[in-house]
Order: sequence, then C-alpha cells, then structure tokens
Amino acid sequence: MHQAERLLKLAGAVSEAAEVAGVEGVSSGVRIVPGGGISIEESTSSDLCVRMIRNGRLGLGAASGSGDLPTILDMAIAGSRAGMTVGWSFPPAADAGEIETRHPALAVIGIEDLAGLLLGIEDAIREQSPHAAVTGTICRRDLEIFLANTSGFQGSYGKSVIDLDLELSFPEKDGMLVQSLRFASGLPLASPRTICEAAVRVASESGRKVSVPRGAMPVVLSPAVLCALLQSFRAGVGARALLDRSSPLADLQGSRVAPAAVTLLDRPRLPYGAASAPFDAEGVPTHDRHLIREGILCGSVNDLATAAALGVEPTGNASRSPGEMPRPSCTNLVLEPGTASLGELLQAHESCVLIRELLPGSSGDALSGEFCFDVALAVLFDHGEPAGRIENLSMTGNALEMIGSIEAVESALYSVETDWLPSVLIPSASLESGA
Amino acid sequence: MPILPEAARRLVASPPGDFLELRGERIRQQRMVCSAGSLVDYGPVLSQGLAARVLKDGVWGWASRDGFEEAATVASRAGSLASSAGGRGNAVLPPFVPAAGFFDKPCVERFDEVPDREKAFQCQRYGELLSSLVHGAPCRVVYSERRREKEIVNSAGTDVSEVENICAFRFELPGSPLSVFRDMAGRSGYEFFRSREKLLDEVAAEYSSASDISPVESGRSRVILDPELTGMFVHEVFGHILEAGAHPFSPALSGMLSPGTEIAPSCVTIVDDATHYDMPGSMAYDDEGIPGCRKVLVSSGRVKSRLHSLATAGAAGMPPTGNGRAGSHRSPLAARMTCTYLAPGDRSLEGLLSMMPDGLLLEGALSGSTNMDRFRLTARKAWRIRSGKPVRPAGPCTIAGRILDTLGTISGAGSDLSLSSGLWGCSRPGYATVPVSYGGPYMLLGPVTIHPGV
Repeated sequence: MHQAERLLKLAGAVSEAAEVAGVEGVSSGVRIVPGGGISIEESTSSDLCVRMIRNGRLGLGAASGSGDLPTILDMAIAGSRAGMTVGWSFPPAADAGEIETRHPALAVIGIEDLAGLLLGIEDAIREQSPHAAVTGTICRRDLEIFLANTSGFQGSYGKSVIDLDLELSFPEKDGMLVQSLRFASGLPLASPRTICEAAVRVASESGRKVSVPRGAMPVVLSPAVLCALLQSFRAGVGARALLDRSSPLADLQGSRVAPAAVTLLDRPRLPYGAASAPFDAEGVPTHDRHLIREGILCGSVNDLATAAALGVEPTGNASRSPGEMPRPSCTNLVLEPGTASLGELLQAHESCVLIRELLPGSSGDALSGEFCFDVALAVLFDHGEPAGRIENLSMTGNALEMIGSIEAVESALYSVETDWLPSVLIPSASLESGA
Repeated sequence: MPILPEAARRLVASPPGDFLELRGERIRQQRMVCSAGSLVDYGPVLSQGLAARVLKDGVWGWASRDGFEEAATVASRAGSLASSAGGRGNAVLPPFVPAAGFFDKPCVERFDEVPDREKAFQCQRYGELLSSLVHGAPCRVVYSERRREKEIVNSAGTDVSEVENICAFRFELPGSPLSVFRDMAGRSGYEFFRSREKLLDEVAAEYSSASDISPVESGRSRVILDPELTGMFVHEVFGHILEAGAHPFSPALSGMLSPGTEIAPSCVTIVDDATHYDMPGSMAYDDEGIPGCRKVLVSSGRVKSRLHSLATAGAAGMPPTGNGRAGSHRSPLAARMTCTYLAPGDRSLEGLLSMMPDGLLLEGALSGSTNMDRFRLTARKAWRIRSGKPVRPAGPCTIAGRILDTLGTISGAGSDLSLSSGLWGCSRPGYATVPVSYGGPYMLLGPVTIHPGV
C-alpha cells in the first residue's frame, strides 16, 4: 500500500482535502466447463482510487494496475472542475476496532479443495439423477483493503470470502429442473452433500405437476426469495431515496411496518460476513444496527454526503466499487430467527405454496416495491406434505406490504448472497399458475 | 497502439503447454449520475492488465493480473494452474486460422476530446429539462462511456487488436407505483449522447400518463412484440440456449439443439452478427482473436449453428464462431452473443394485426431473463387489440413461460428490422457483463401467459 500513501501525499498537496482507497485482491477459482472437465482460474487485482476536495468541489480518479499516480491525480483534478459541491469533511482518525473477517480455515483452502468440492457436488447430484449436471464456479477471494485521508484517518483490514455460484440442472421428460446455489460467505464451507442437499431433495420429490387456482394463498418464501423481496427495503432505507422523497419509507420512521415477529438488522460487523468491514468505504466506523425492531422501522443507511444533507450522523454504510463515488448501502442483512421449523411453517395452513426460487432478473420495481415475480420453482404442500410442483406460477404484490404481513419466521438462518435469512410464512399472497 | 510489451509478445513463441494466449486490455470508462439537479456520482476509471490462458494436458488454466509488467509470471501461472488439475481434463483446441489485423471504428467526437465539465453540464441540462416536463418530479440521468483497447496474441500465430467505444445513457423518473425510464447504447463516441430531447419528451409523456393507464388483465393471450421486445425475446429465448457452455450438455437439450433439429416454425430465422459496427457487441475480432462474423443460428425454424468460443468449440468438435467474449482482462472467456436478431419476414404490422384480431400489442423492453428452462420478458406498455385495431393502452406487463413450450407458438414475423441496446449489457452468472444488442421486426406469438406489472 506504499503507492496509496504516496498518492495521498500528492493529492493532499493539490487540494483542500483528500482520501485514498486501495484494494488488492487475489481470486482463485474452479469452473466446470461444458463437455466435462474443469477450468482453473486466478485473477490478481490492484485498485487505487483518490477523492479530493478542490475549490469546494469533489473530484475522483481511479485506476487498476497502474503505477502512474499523476494520471490518477489528473483524473481527480479534472473531475473536481465538474464535481458536486461538498458540504462535509473526511472523517478524522477513529478507533474502528477489530472484527473477524478472515477465518483461519479459509486460509488453507487451495485450488484442489475447491475442485474437489465442485466435483463432489457433481457426484452427489448424479446419485439422484445420472444425467444431472453442475455449471458455474466456486472461488476464494482474498482482499486487502486500505483507506486513508488527510483528516487523519488511516485503516486497513484483510478479508477472505468464498463465492459459490452454481446451477444444478436435472433433466426431466419435458425439459430441465434448474436450481441455483448462490452465496458469498467468509465461513468454512459445508460438505458437498450438505450444500446440495435441498436441491437433491426437491429433484427427488414428486415430479407431478399441479396448478393452483388464481387468487390468494398462504406461501412460505425461501431465504432466496425473501432476499429478492428485501431489495425494495434495501433501496427504501437508502438515504438517497429518502432525500429525494422517492422512497415509500420516507415518512415511516418510528412506525410499524411489520409484525412484532420481524426484527431486521444491518450487520457490518457480522463475524466472517461477506460484506463485513470494521469501517465503511469512507472511513466511518461501522456498527450493527436495527433497521426494523419488533416490527417498527427504526433505521436508515447513509454515507457522509447524505448524512450531511439530512443533518444526521453518518451510519458507516458507505460502499463503493473501485472508481465509483461511495453510496449508502446495507451490508449483511440478518432477519432474526423465529421459533418454527420449516416443516411447521408448511403445516400452519391446510395448504400452502413453498416458493423456492424465482427466475433470474425477478426484482420488481426496486423503489416502490411493486413486483410480479415469475417463479422458477414452487411446490404445493397439502397438510405439510409435498403434493407436486407448480408450473408457470407467478406471484404479484408489493414487497414492502408482503414484509409487513409476515406471519411466522423460521428458526434457522441460511446464507443467501451476503445476507443471513430464514424462510418466512406469508398468510396471503396473490398467485396465478398459467396453463 | 501496442498494449502488450514486446517481451510479453515474445512469450507465445514458447508456451508452457499446448497453447498459450495473451490478452492485453486498457479500458477507460466514465460514469456520471445526475439526480435532482445535482451530480451525485462521477467515476472515471482506468483499468489495464493482461490475461493468460494455457491449455495443458486437457485442462484450461487461466490467470490475470493488473498491469503489464509481469507477463511471464502470469503466463507461467496459467500453466501451473492447468497442471494443478493433474491432467484430469479432456479439453482440446479446435482447428482455427490465426488472424492478424487492427480495427478501430472512427468516432465523430472522441470521449477524451470532450471535457468532463461539458458532459456533466449535459447530464444536468437533460435532468432539468426532464424535471420541468413533469412539474418538478425527481429524475435521474445516467451517462456512461467506455473505451476498450484490446490486443490478443497466441502461440498459433494470432496477432490482432481492436478499439471499442461505447456510449450509453439512461433517463429515469422514479415513480410510484412504477418507475419510467429509457436507456440506449451505441458503439459510438460522445455524439451519441447529444440531441436526445425527443426521448425526454417520450419519458415525460409516459410518466404523466401512467396514472391514466389501467393494468393489463392476467391470463393467456396472443401477442405481437415490437422490434425491441422481439430482440429481447430472441436474446433470452433463443440466444442463451444456443450459447455453447451456457447450460450443461444434458441429453434432453443436446438432442434438441443438434443441427437440423426443428425448434421453431419456418418463419423463424435467427442471426448473430458481430459486424453491425454501430451496435454494442459488434467486433472485428472476438476476445480470442477469432474474426467476428455473421452466423445464422436458426434457419427457417431449424438449428443451424451454435455460438462457440475456442473452449466450447473444442469440446463440441466444431469450429469457433468468433463469440469468445470477456468483459475485461479480469474476466474469463465464454461463448456469448454479439448482436442477435430475428431476420425480417414478409408481413407488415397491419398484416400481423389481421392475423390476431384479439390480443395485445406489446411495446418497449424493460427487462428479460432466463434460467434456460423458463424465460420472462417485461414490456413497457401494452395495447389491447380488438378486431385487429389497437383500442386501449395498458401498463407494463410481463410474459413468461417455458422456452420449449413457447418456441413453437411463433406464427409471424414482420418485414421491418431495427436493432436496440441498453445501458447495462448482458450478464451471465459467473462471468462479466458484456455489451450486446438485439432486435428484429414485429413478431406474432402465443398464446403466452401474461401478468400485469414488472
């Protein structure tokens, strides 16, 4: 990070204030390629980004793989001529404390282990269906993050994350049953059999196709589907949407938005969370915070700019990709577990639909929460027993209203994307299964 | 414009395996976001580095690194990674003719010749205009430019380079219940962003009329897709399943996609053409140095060809098709679409409407996706058709269904053709987003399942 320190000195000399962020990473992974076999991949990256306040305006420059510091400075100086006027300062030195971001068990995971895991998953699903196939990747990312500014903040941390992004395809008489496995976590991986256990179970369950009458029915949303539903909530508690009044949550702080069973936290200090960090992308120390406490909306997320505009303290939720201005974002969302098992959720009503997976791209309108989800995999349950898969199912509604109607929460949490979420029971969802 | 240092270029003479490829990239991109009259995001990024790929003992090893200083290390690392599988692979390199050349489509206004201040001013100006058209409602303008230079050399003798400029933008009115937006992209310089006032009027008019439009009724109906939606349908429904490696070669599908197999009615001819040089996704050379070209994927309803990279072509025993693509040097390659469209038929829109006295005419593509078994496609607007005439507009709606069930329902293609592209490009799990374009004429299909909303 010597380059970063040099860049900060140079930037500080030509501006009122400056900040430098550096990320160095190595990503090693294994990919199953078509026609059999595997591809072994490794990518080494080095990003450097400077922000400077010059004549009261903000400029940014970023580069990867370049030791050419003057070029990055030139970009930031040019940007400051066009950039926004700044009404805030870079944060001073602060003790962000330490958090667990690098699990010792991940340090010893090598390419061979990842390949073995991937091939193990392939073996496990082929026990169920000889022509089943796995596509996708599994990789380990090791990151070193550095941030410093001319107000005195300087911090760094390392992080290791396993990214798993697989599609499991089970050939059927009239097409394929496709199931996704997707998560990012800093925790050691489970065995291949455990990872694909649920997918294999679904494939082995009755291939019988059923339909449901158009109308409202109780549904159990899998953690993956709940994660998609929470996109609207992520957007709605972002301070930019609150500032421009485009968030439907703008006037609901302190109000009930969900039943008391719902407590949702943003946990940037979650041990080994994929989005965990001791300080955010601007150097503000992070804190685990309630967004919904027992059904009451009690939090929003902001960065330095939005906090200044709202006249509040920054929450330590700035995030950014290399070369982008920070923006307020949730980190690891955790919905506190309830008391019921998945089986109990499925038995709570005479019949209900377990929505396991949505088609890719099913996000609805992120801000308003209006959605029409096309369901990739849903199973009808009758008195808690699977009665068949539902084809061509769609579910419509409003994500924020649906979160507000959660009847019960599962007692176990699962890793989805960067979140830890349970299944939830919704007493009434608008469903339609086409012909 | 050499990107790879001479020392790096010399490495391909002594590959650490059966085949060595080096790809050098230099990407300069700029993104601006203007919201509520202020510039809220501004991000110039210069990204450069190289990727090495080695085929050794039937396994592909791939390594990349930012910067160009350690080409020998990267090439050696790719060889080591290929070896780490212990010779467990069965990958082979297909025969191909090594290409040599350089391609740069000239721009009217190069990105680096327009000051950032002017770009920011234009974003703010469009934002103010849009806001004034909708009585001060909050709006967003996103501007994006990307200049990518790439150079590919390999041990088979390939030596090519290409410059790709892509300009894209988005006008958005976040709203309740639904946001209204338009986005466009072109393989072009900054001139693509100029004189877009007419599009602002369209976005504002749609936003202002949104509250007067009723939702479409759920159910099943025949539909006519406009050229943009036809393009997205072709991309999601035909294009992805014809990308070799996008799905496993399960017996069920590999049989279905064999050359000569009938998968759609005879009015369907699908083309992937990398030589539409105004469109994102076009390329003179793909990211493996294979010349981009026009491929007929489906001819009169029958599978003719699939899209291949070197790796998938080798696995399938086919020649590469010039579709090996990566988003940057940090991303591995895959067989991806370029500019994919339905070839025009011989019917006018009126002719298609006469074939569908009752149904829906869908306009404008908001989004589309597939999991290779099912697809979904969201239209900006629908017109109810009664007795062959549009009678009443309806709001956004989504059509969805199983791919295999839907292909056979196409019953007519119009005689016009137009191509489109959006801000984000095409994403695929495990790979980088790449620029693509898509299009076609009006197309009649169905009945398909329709739901109101997005």
